[in-house]
Amino acid sequence: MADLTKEQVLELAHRLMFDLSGEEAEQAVKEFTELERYLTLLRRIDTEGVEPMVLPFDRRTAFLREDEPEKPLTQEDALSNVRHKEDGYAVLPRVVK
Amino acid sequence: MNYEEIRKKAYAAYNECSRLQEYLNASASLIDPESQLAELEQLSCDLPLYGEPVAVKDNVCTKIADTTASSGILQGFRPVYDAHITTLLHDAGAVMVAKTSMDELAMGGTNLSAFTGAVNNPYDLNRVSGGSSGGSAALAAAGAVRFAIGSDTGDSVRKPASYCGVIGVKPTYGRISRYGVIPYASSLDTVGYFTLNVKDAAKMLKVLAGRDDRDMTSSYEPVPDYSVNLNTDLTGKKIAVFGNVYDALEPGEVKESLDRVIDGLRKKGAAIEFVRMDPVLAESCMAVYFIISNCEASSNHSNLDGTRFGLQKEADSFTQIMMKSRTEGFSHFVRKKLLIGSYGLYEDNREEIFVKAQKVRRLIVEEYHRMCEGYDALIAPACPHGAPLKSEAENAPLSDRIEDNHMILTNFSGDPSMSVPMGFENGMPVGLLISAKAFDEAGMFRVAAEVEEITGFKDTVREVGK
Repeated sequence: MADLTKEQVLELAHRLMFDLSGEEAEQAVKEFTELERYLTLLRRIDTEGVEPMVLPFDRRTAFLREDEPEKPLTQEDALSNVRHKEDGYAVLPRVVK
Repeated sequence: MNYEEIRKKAYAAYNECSRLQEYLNASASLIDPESQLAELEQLSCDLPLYGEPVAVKDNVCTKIADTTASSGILQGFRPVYDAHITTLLHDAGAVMVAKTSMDELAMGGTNLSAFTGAVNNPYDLNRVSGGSSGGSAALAAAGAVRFAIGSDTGDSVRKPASYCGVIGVKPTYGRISRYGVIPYASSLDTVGYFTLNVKDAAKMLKVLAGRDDRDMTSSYEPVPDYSVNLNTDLTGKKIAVFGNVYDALEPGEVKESLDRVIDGLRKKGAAIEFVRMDPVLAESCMAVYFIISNCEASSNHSNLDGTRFGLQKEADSFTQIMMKSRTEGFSHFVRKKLLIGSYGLYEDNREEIFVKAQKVRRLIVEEYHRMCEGYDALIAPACPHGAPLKSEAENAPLSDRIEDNHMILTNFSGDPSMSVPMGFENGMPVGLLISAKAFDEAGMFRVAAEVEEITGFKDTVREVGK
């Protein structure tokens, strides 16, 4: 992993839909230096043939439920935290101008 | 206790949480118990937590109170459903009196990053409470409530428990449903809680544990009565001391407290042996945690978009609403973490970063289980020192040392683990960590009950501002 520049970090932030001030971007670059240090630690460990551990236990606890309708959120509940709403819709600025 | 006494008790707790706010800043919001008391009148007084005031971490969804996870991005968010544990607490007769402050979105270990400001330690207001469940730990330690809910992703119940001198329990992964708990890192997140004695810890787990189909990781393991067999002797039990952590302790009060506990456990019939794990794997714990927790968090928090709930900034376009809401809503600390996590999940990086960490996690867990093989419990000091000053903790770099990070091991493995008050260092509490095999919380509580008897720290409360 090559060190990231301030510009690359900013681009990454914009893809995540937030911004960074100049100072914040500089600090974020340092965070990537920390990531590189951690990766150096991990590269010492041979993981050839090791399965990634996704969850603590292999015991199966998730199953498909019966295909029966469940009571969904009411429209009123679904919109209860929306600031601008009209006729059962969340209102946002027009996308197609 | 009759209904009038219950009412008085609930309001006393509510008023105490309110009074303590000036000193501890532990509550994100207070909950007037009136409506819950009205419902309580219809319930049986035989319920396990009938009329018991409870504080709940602010990442647990509650219809009767805002749920912000101490983040600006969730300002004003009022859930439209209760978390599974909110319902269980209600059904057990508990009365919620406060939503408690936490590190923003549970991403931290100091409780300095809460949107509403730092939580102060009841034993010294200039020191951290620990995090991320610091508000709950502080309110229990100050005696405002005897039960408080937290969550533990990488020691977030056990560290504040150690720093504040209370019991903090992280049960087995999947033991308690996380439905309705705002996630941090889904492969590590566990609901936990604080109490002032082991008997109450056993009682609380019985209330909260059990299968819930709405959490796909929720376990089918039967839920025993954890309160039976407490304070039976430890003859024939084998307890391991985590040697890597013990060896790293400096001479002083923490080591002396631990030695006293070891001596006491021997006298109670337990066979004590020292065990050690591979040091390279041990010092890789923080690296693995840093990567896995940030990657999973970046995925989990992509739904916080500023359009449907929480902070919703005004702007001329949909994308600008998201940009402004997420920039202002997340602190810089959290945005840094999300950057790292997202980067680690990029297709080009995933194998080298996220998957590599997942593979090392497996090796660490295998090594940890090898070390614990044949023992009923593993003990170590929860933290090598008491709570640091806030000024010291603010800019402290993350440590790779196993003595600072060993509690993460049971988040990796999913095994149960708890911190029990063990002693003091310069007037600040320090806890003993007790870990056990998956779903053997009963065995863990049995050891904890003996430790409680050895140390004498039971129902210990620190009065604040009186």
